[in-house]
Amino acid sequence: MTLQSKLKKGTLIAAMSLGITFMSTAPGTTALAASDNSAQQLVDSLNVLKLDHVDYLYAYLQSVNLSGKEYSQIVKNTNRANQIIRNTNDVENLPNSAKVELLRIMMENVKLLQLKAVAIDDKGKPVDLINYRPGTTGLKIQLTDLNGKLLATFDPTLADLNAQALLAKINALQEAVKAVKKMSESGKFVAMPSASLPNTATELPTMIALGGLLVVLGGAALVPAVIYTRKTKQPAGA
Amino acid sequence: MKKKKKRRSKKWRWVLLGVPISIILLGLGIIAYFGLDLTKQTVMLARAATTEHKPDLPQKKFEQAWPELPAPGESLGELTFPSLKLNVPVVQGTHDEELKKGAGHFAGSALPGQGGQVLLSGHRDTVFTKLEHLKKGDKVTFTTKYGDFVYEATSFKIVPADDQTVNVAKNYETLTLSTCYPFDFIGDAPDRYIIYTKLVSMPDIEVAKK
Repeated sequence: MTLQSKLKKGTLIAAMSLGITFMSTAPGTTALAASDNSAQQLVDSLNVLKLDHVDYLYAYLQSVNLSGKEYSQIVKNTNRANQIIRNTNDVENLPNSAKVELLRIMMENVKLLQLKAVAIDDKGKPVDLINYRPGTTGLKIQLTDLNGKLLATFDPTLADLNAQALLAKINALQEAVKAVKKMSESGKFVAMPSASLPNTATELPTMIALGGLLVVLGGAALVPAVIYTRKTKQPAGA
Repeated sequence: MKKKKKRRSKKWRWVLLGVPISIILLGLGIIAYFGLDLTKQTVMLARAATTEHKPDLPQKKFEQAWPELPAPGESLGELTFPSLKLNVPVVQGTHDEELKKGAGHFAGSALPGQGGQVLLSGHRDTVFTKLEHLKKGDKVTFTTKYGDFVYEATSFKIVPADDQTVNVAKNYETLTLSTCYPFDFIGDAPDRYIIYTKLVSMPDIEVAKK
């Protein structure tokens, strides 16, 4: 990227930031809008994590009561992760101690948010990470609440091991915490500003139709088969 | 002369020994520095992985109806359609497992009595099969632990499956129902059938709490 293109991008971002700031000071901006902004910030942060669903986690995080100590530990962990990853493009190039520290930081932040992370295979069975051999089966991470209720599933790809992608996820988690903190000021549950409709599609009608089709086809094939076997039996009996 | 030579050779011996010893010590230092860091981080990771984090504070309680967030799959009540002679159990959540239990409440939407849009979804081939026969003005009752929330169907809409205009936050109490459309479609239905309602009556939450 040339200096000129960097400058252009920087100017564009600055102009957009100014625009957003100006819009937020416009008349009609209310406390409700502020909580809406935080709600949107929470949704955006959760979307960065590339989970299969965000609605359960969105609701659950609002019920999490973080102490000041827990909150500052999350911030401290995130800053440390930034320090580790900042100067690398590939996590693989980091020294082993840094990789282990990153894993610990992520694990600790997940725990501080009162979540549990469980590694599972393609069939949904828990995976023992110590004995896991890459390539033998897919690996997914399930996020559950403290009672083990499934909230969301993360299906990591190689692209997620990219340093910047990883950093974006760690920072997104912190942004989510900040948004939740703002939302909790109202003392009320804040609904998602907008979301897709739940997926109510099922394979049931297709499978019933498929079953019906197979019965018809089988029946159609059975008739000539029965006639043929009867015909072939007659001379033998005669 | 001999003494001087002896002293010099002694010095050289120290230098000769000192250089490799220093290199060894430097090597050990590096191993110790990085090895200790790795060991320290591994020990800390193991501790993070094995120890349970006890939250400093209990779960947050909202200052409104449903102060405790229902867990996915938890029963919220029952939906009744008197005109269709249909009763449907309602659970928290709209993912696959929850929708097998009945109609699901979208976790990111408000709950009855919280002053927002309550979004309930269900399969067109199980709990919401009869929904296509619901007419404008028909009553829908959501029986919860606080009492009966009565709504009236006001309008119907068909939207694409990826629509983002229906499931939005609202600042007034209302119930919206969604299911797949067309009802008799073979395969993944491309659209969603939406039923908008208006609130007719609701219980006094404060009284119900007591």
